[in-house]
Amino acid sequence: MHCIRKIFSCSVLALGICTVLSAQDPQPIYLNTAYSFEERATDLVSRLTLEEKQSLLGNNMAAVPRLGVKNYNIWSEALHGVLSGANPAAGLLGPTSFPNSVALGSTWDPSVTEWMASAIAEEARAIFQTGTKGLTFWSPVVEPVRDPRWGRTGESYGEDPFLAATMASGFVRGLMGSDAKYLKAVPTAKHYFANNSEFDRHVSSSNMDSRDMREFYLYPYKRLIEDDHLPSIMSSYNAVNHVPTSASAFYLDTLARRTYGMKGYVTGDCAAIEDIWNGHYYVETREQATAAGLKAGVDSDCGSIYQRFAISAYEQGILSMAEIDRALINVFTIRMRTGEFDPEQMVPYTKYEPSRVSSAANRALAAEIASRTLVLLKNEGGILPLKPGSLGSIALIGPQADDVELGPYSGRPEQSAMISPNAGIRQYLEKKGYDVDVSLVTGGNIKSKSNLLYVAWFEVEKTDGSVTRYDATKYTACADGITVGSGMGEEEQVRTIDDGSWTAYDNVDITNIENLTVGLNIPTEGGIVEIRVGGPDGNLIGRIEATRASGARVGGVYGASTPMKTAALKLGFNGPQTVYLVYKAPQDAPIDEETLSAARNADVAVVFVGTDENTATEEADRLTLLLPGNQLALIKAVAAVNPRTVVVMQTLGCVEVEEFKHLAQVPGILWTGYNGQAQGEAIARVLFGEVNPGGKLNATWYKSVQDLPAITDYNLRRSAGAGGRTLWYFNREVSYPFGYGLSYTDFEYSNFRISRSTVTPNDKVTVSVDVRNTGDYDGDEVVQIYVATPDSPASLERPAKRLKGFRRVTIPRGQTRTVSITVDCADLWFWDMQADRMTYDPGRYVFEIGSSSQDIRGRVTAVMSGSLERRLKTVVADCGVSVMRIGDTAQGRFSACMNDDSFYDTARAEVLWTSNNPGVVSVTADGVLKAVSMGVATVSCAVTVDGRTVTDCFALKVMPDLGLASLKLDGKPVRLGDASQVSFLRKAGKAPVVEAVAADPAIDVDVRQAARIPGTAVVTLSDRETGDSRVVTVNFGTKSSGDSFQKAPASPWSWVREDPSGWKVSDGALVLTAGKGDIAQAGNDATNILLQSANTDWTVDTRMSCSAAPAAPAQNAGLVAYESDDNFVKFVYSATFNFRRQPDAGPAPGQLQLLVEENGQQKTLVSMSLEGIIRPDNVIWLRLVKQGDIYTAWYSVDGRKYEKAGTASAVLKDIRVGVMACEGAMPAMMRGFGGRGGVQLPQSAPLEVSFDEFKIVNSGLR
Amino acid sequence: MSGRSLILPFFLLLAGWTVQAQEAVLRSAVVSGDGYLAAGDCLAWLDERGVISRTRTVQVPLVALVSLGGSLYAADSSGRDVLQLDASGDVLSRTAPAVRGRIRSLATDGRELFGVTDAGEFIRSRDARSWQVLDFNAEYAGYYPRMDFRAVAAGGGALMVAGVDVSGHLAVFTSSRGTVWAERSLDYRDQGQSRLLDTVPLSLSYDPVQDSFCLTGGGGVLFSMPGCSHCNRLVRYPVDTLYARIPSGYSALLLGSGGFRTNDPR
Repeated sequence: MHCIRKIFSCSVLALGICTVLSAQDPQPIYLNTAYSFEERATDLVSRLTLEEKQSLLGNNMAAVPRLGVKNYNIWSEALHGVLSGANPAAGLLGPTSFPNSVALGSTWDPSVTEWMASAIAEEARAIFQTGTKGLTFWSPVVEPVRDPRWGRTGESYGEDPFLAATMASGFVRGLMGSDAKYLKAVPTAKHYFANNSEFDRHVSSSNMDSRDMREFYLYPYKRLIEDDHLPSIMSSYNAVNHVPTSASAFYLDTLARRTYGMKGYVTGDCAAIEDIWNGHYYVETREQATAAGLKAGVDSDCGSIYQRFAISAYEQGILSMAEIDRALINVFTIRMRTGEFDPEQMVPYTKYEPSRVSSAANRALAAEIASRTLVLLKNEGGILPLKPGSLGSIALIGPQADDVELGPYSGRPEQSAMISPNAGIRQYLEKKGYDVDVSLVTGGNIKSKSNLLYVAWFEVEKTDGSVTRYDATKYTACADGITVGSGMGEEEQVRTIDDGSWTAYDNVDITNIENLTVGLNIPTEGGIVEIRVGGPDGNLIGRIEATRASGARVGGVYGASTPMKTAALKLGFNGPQTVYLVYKAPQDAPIDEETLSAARNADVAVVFVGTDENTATEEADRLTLLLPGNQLALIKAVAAVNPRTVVVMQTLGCVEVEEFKHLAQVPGILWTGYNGQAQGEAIARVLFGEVNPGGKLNATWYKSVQDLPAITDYNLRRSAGAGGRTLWYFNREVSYPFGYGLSYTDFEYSNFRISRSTVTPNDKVTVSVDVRNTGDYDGDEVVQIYVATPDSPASLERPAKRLKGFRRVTIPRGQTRTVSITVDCADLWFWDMQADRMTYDPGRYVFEIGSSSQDIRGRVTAVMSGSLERRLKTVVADCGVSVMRIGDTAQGRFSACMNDDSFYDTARAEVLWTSNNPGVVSVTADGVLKAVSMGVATVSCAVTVDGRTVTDCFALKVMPDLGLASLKLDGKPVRLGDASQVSFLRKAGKAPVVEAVAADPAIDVDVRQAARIPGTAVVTLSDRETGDSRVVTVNFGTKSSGDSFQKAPASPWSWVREDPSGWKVSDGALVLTAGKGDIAQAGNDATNILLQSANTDWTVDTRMSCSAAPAAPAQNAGLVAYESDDNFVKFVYSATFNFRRQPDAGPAPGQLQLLVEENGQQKTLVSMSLEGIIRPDNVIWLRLVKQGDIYTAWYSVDGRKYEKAGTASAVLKDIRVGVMACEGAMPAMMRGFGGRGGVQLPQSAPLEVSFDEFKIVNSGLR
Repeated sequence: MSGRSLILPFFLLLAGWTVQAQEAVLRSAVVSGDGYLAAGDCLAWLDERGVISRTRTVQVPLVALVSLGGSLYAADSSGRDVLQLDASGDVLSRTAPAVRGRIRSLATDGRELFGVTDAGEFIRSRDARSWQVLDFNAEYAGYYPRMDFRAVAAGGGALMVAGVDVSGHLAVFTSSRGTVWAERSLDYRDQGQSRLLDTVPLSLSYDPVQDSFCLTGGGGVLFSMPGCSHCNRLVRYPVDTLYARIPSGYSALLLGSGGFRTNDPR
């Protein structure tokens, strides 16, 4: 690839870019389509100023007009349709709302999700063309549903990782499109990973062993990244094994990128970066959270931590520019892959008109998909399909009968596209010309009786007006299941309150009580708070009805508390009592006679029940699996009066059905997940037999919530007396097994066969079966393949069976289809926790072929032996930087992961490094890169292991040269090289005139002359594009003077903030008593800093003896090279502060520190413990050597043998050097803690430091 | 004073109050001691519950009031000057920043003063005398809509401005250092549905306890914008216009039309 220089053209103007470049300027690389997307992104990022970079690290990315970069919101959603509404001004209708993921999962057909996602991407493109939304979508949700109580079950494809991965694969492929170069839209799989409970997601840790992690939770991501090149994931709120996923380089870099090979960007969930700091308390400051997230590999913060604290983190030295650049390059590469920066005519996806949104074709597609999701759970006596020709009347009953529930993450489709069951059935009958009397009654409610309230506080107001507030979260006892949390808010609240829950508070004085107030929030429907004394059934002293039905509208899942007040019942209680807050769900009214009459009088009664967003949602799990409201009572009441009752459930997942599934008077039961805008049309087609339901359950339907372990238990296998989870490990009876679903027809399986009876992990095996439709209707069947390993050692507790293949086939009545499913034996792995790689159990692999996980029609077996042929799978190469300056070098490095997910020893690999532009960046055989000249280059690393080569590459930008072409003093040239500082040793007097010329004409040069000698001339070279600058200082100095301190220091010495009471000369030594203060960061108040001019290169030695080891928190003493209080280099013997040190451990040993402060920002370059080194008399020799801008620190404990402590780099001007001793400033990390946890800061005795001598040898150019 | 006799205002003057105090619009306030000092059609000293203890008249209604370094700064309805006031409300000095538009709002982050104008200008100063001006509309022509700014706030390492575009729609922008601006999402959830806020903004404030910005506006709108742009929250108060929210520790004062003043415990 070579650099093509083009004249700035009208095609670029067509992008709407401000012409900040003149007509003669070459086209910038980032707009030049001849370069790769990554090269262009790297070039673009290299041109940004630091503030621009910070502003681009969030989901709301700022516009950068001078570079032609538009603003862009990385955050959009498209789980089952673009999350948006109509925009008449832009000519856009409300986007199509397809069935939600829970419904799609029950189709068991990934072509459906691909089809749908492709249509969604087209609508997204049409919307994007109007400039109102982006093309990066934080969908799909790929977490397997470990627990049906999870509030976001409706957004997931199912409980099984293979099913979830396969369905998500269709979505990912459909959204990305098939163009070889451009992405149609960008999917982001989430939430990475193990984010499976809502109530504690910001603070919890999902703890698991590496088997569950690899085999279950990570499996969908592995499949999507490796097979479909998924370009993005979202890091979750929770921690895994106590490390926040958003702060873990292991989870994000080692696993997602280096093991699975993800190329793209990582976004944090919204406020996940903030949660690192104030959810998990994993770090102490927001700057540290910024650094942790960026270092781990989270490229974008859907929050505001990066956007507010990246610069300060960088200035504190805890975050590098390379880490910031890498994140932005990842994000901009994705934006470029959508074609955003390319001429429209090059991008195949720019041709979608606004009319594509909610088009007739997409509406029809939504209806077609909706008709494929329904699962027939019961069909006794052939009640279904209904025969409208022989039906006189049909009663539609229930709270969802005339409702369109779209479920979570739904846009706002056109009202005309929303078809309720009532509307759908009526339209169907009318269209087909059937004269059936349709009656509609609701007769029920869907009000959740679970997760009633969040309660923060309560107040007791007395007759004298005094008010005492009690923190509700500080209860002394509570019912089972109560938790405390704050979710996305700031206020701690009592949560997970169920019907009948209670919290108790001792010592509440209710003498002369007048009123009671409770601070609460209603997340769903609300409930009743009874205030009782003595017990949950004790005397009632107050009652508050906090329900939406009563008109209270306080909060929502994100809200803070609002007070609700009631007059107290004065029962004469005096003094402190134990007060109980008892929470109750409102009682339901009995099923009304109108409903019963409609049911009684109809030929068929169809009861529509289900869940909605108030049952469970983001931030709110279900606490029960019962149908909410009085729907269960409704079903039973209707069935009691009509023996032909059909129940249609639309829910977010499993509900308890044991109370009605066996009723003879309920011969028909259908289920679907949230089924999109056309749900009514779909249900009509299925009820009346135009469509034969072919869906299968995507999760196990448990008999009772009591069968489940705690929702916070992430183990899949049995743990702590609880049963296992999912079809893999759950071993009790269920209402309906995973994969269950009936049909209007019957399917007969025969002729089971397998292509080979012995296999190795390297083989593929095909399982075939003949399926015959023996019934009266055409229909779809989902043939499912489960694999069991009966020969696996029992101690390994392998899953009972795992889904490893399926196919949905349409079979006309009377016909037979042969269904062949190929299983890759490599996919039958388990995780070896000891060897940290995949493993295979030898022995029998039984392939169970059936219509559900429990309806197995036949089995075939293959015996596995041998091991997986290890081959190289993923190589990731980088060099630690993306932007270099001419002359910079970097070391290329790489990781190599094998197909068993273990890492190869890179020292043994054969590696070939190449550069596609060695004139810009050269690379040696050892991977040493050198920036040669301005431009971009891609460096490739080809790794070969056992004859297989995998290559990875990365782009680099070399910036304009900030070097000097020439530097002259009074017209005479000076050889400077690459140094940032040059020193001259001369006599005092007039300073020479400095002239400087930049090597690159694009660089501005400014020279500030030295006033005199000693003094410093400052040459500043600035890159006009980015504002980057380089400072070269020319120091002119005179000879300094040593001192043996036989008398008081006089000229050339001078004091900074002299305190005469704090120093003396005694016995040939200067004795400083450490005074309060320091010169650390903002605390510039240290006294008695003794300095003399030393504006050259030099070597300084001193012998220092201390009255004691410097004591905590921060006493320090030693040498200082000083420009100002905010610019210096300090080499000191200092205290070590460790508040965890046990009091009886004795005084902490001191340490040597080499610190640099530049413009008030301090960095500690060296921190070296002196434990076991320093003598008990606390005598130490310190040596500091300055050469140019490099300071090297040495120490000795005997004055003869010196050890190097470390080096620092600092460009100081008008340098003075000398000695100081001070109490020091509290370490930054401790300032925020103060007395936290009862830690008392030790009192330190005054430190007396004697400097026996001060020797200095100056050097420099003449 | 329409519809009132002369006796009532005379009586109220005798009582140390002015008629204006009863009907006066208070648009802005700062924390003062245990209570607040509010500014609008007059200056009013309020306790922590928003009850007025005393007032004084102002020559020209004030639209913004901030406190920086022990000094009070205000903008009046002329939009031309930034006034420095003493603790009792006397004008100590006036400065007219070199802007084209009318100054609509002031803010401070404890180190600098910030202001916005209806011509889309963002101004800043460390001493209220020398002002830097960023012409947002010129800087971002073609990238963001032309803005008539109505409100500004600063805190928590961020700046925020709000205004209406040429179509009269609300737009909000944030910046960390005041030279690069990103648009802020205004999506929020209402009964599970995603909605977009569109109101005429009257004020912005930063709440350090909640680490979030709050926007007030017509229709009693109080819109919280925490760091997470997914987490915006809308509350409507029963008042035509909510002028301002002034945080004070764990509470805040709300100022609205018709003498509406209440504590916001959120």
